[in-house]
Amino acid sequence: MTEVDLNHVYKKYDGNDKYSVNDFDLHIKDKEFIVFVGPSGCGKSTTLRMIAGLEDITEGTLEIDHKVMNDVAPKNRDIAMVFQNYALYPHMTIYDNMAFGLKLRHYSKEDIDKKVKHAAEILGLTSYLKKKPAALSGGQRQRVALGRSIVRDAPIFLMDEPLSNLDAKLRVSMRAEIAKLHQRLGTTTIYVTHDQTEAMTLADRVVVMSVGKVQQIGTPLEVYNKPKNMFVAGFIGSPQMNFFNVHYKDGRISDGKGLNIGIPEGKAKMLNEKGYNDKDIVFGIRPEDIHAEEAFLETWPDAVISSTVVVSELLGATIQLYQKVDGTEFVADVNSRDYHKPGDHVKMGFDVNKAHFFDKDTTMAIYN
Amino acid sequence: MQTKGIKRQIGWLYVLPAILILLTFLIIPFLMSFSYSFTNYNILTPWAKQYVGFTNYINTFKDPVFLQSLKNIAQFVIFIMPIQVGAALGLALIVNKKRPGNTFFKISFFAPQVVSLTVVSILWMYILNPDQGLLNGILGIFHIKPQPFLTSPKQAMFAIIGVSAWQGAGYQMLIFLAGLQNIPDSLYEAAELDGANSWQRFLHITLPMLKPTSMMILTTTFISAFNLVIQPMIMTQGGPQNATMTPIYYIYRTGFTDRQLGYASAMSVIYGIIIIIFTIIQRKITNAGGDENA
Repeated sequence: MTEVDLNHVYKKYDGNDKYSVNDFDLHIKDKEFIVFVGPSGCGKSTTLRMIAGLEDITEGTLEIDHKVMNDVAPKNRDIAMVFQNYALYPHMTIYDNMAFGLKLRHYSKEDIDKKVKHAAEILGLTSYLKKKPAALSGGQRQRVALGRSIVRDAPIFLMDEPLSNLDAKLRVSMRAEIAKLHQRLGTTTIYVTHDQTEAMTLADRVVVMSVGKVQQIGTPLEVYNKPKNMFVAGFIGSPQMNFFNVHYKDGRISDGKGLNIGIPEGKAKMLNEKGYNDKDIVFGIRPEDIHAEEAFLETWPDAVISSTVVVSELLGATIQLYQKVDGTEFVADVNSRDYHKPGDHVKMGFDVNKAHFFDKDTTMAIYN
Repeated sequence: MQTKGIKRQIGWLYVLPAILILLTFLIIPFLMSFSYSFTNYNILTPWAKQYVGFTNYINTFKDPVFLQSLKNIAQFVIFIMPIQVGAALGLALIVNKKRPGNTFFKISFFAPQVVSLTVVSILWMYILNPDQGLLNGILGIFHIKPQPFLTSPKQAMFAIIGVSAWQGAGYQMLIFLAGLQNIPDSLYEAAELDGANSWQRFLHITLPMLKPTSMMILTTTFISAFNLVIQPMIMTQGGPQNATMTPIYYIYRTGFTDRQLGYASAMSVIYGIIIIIFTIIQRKITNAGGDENA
């Protein structure tokens, strides 16, 4: 059983007026895979480093298994961490890199040997044990960094952007390995990344952060389908959600230019109930919820707009059509059968049932 | 073919200044000194120069002052290496931590380096003066009786070792500092999470990561230590009882004060060979562990 509790944690660096981490409150369950995701400088790595003990906590408490850890030295927190730049000891062999922590903790030679060889086997590093890190590729080095954490049998793994130094292909395969590893070891894991794909694919729960504040905590599906605010809606999902500044009145939204569509009754009712009738709101729709198929256009004629294709990017199964409607740009992710070249005038249907509506001033979702 | 020839000639033109300088100040003097070493060349009577065979070489090995000077330089090299390099590393570790007044300490530690060795030597002669010197004054506060320092055959060389280390450590501190700042913080953090205390982090991260820097500093200290001459020349004139006489100083004195250039040349050839041998040994030792960080 290893649970981690961050109770209203704040971090302010000396000489800074603003908090780098602001009221971070989270309960992490045993064996959970938590991903902190957000753009650079959002405080995700700082939070991770506070859990590791590499940064002091300015306010609030960190508890591991209900014991307050604020003043406990990193080595006594029984935490293993994988660093972004791997942080392998360049003067030691791969074997010694993995054995170092065990030696310092006075494990017997036989135990160390057993654990290191076992970890090497899991990670496919057996034939590299006598080599130095410089002789290994990026992916292999990252595996050694993982191995160093595995041998420790630490109940908590922290990973600070472990895949960001790898090329795209390797990143995908290492991502799968990390997922497998977590399934196999069941260690409580806290993973930091700026890559929302990593967050979505690995996490049990995602913590979306921006400028030091938690924006939303939820399962990947929750943050994707029910974003709490425009930041989460825009950050999760690629290409990002399209936003239109519109005026809502009596079941229709219009941006005063090319966008003027009707809204299903249920949604309109909710907007009315919340007091948004005859008000400016933000209308958000994901690229995959914009359709070009004839069948859709015929079924929902009131949700169709005319636009011009600016750029079209063929990805294989789908095509991303970057379009303009009277100066407002948006992107649609449609089946590649509906190919259009730049300059084409097209008709696009919005699946308004899947649309999101946000308050223009607070940027918060009007309902979820 | 012609352009290739011209190109080659232009190439020689580029290296000509270096060749001329090397010839004038290194190769020709070395060859001259090698030829003088087989003569009884005296600067005052150059016309009376005669070939004397290996007499000078045989005399060198019988010369008690030269043998004493070899012992002295060995003592100097053995002590200066750990003291100066250790001090440099210690100072670098002190100023590497971010704390107020760091710039002041960096400048203070480096300051002796910018003062000429002659000035440093004179300054320390005052500090080490047995009667009115500052150091004996400080020792007096702790009820330690005055020490003879430069006037004692037993202490003089250690005093020179101390002065030399004080003067040289600041520069090496800067090199160590650059080495320390090249060690990524994440290594220390990883070691901390691995359970290493600050001493273990120093032992297992700092020291091995500084190995290339340390090797470079040890090599330069080792080579420059053999050239010790200014400090004894000014502070002790090689005394007392030749306790601080060094080979270079003795060669200089024999050649230019006693004017026996032939004999001095023989000594310089022998000393040159000794330095070459030690440098080769030292390089072999250094290179043996050189691939550690590969």
